[in-house]
Amino acid sequence: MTDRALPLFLMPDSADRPFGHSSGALPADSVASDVITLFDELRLPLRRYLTCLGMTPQDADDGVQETFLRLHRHIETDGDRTNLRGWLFEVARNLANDRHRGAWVRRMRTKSPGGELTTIPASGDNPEEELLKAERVAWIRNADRRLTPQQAECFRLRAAGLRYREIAAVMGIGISAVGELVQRATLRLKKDFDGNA
Amino acid sequence: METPDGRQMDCDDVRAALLLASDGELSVHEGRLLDAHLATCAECRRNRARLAGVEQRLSACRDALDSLEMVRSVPRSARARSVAVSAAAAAILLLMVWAGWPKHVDKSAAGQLPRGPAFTNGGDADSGEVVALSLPLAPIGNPFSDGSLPNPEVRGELVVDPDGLRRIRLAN
Repeated sequence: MTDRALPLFLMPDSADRPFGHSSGALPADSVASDVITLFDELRLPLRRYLTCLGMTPQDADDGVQETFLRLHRHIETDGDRTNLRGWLFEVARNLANDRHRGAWVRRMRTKSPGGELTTIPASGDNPEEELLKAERVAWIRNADRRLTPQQAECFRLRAAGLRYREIAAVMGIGISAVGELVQRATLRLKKDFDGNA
Repeated sequence: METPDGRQMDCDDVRAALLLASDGELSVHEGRLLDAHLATCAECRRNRARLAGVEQRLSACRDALDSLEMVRSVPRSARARSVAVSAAAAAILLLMVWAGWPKHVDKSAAGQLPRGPAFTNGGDADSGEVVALSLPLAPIGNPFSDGSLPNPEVRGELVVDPDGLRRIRLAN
């Protein structure tokens, strides 16, 4: 057994194990190995990205698992592997959109008061620091309202932890253009925060 | 110093190189080219300082996003279980109240309780007497948090005596 983080569906005792893997042992085939490598690298950035898109941390965790389950199926069915990192973030974005649509429909049906999902950071910081973090998260989640779609997406991906080269591949633009968009978004962030201070 | 295609690094190259350098993706050779350019170009040095500020703010954003993850302590299945157990306990409690359990009704306390418009007569018109039941409210996350019983068939309210005893005040 290993301490290595695994997608839940690849855990030895998971009921959701994809076809081709017998339970009771860690997956050893190349598909699972590729998925686990990407999971190690991109689990946290994907979780941050989904959180940026308004998901609660719990939903973001579920979203990451779902994204990697889809990746496993994608690879297993000989899907295109040229830009799997970009593919993962695209799937995650669609997943977040679907969830938002679902949540919106549920809200309309129950006519409960709307509003954003708010989660208060539970770190050991002092209250001022926690408030600042909460404001930053709120700002990131509302980035679409303040930035152009391209700026917002580049900013989210960079804030999630993707490298400039990876963002360029995901967005289909040059590295310098990514840098420019991220810089403009961050300057706007600075302006908004300094303006509120 | 020259780029791999045999030319000097210009300011456009440096803009991309600074971004790659911030991710640790420059080779040693490219790093030397970058340093050589920065040593002679004040504008690119200013760009480097700007990028450092941007990265600092992004790092703060990353910290803020990661701090949200600490909230995650109870697995979803456990939360669902907890809600189900609370709901089941509340249902059982209401059933017990409805069935008249426990039998040791505190009639003495009943006389002291005020009657008011909040108490509706659930049964016959003459039995407007309010009784207080000494019910042991299990620690089920108080299903009567708003002070009233959720079942419209059972009229009454939850009261807390000065001695801390919780009672359900019912209208017969």
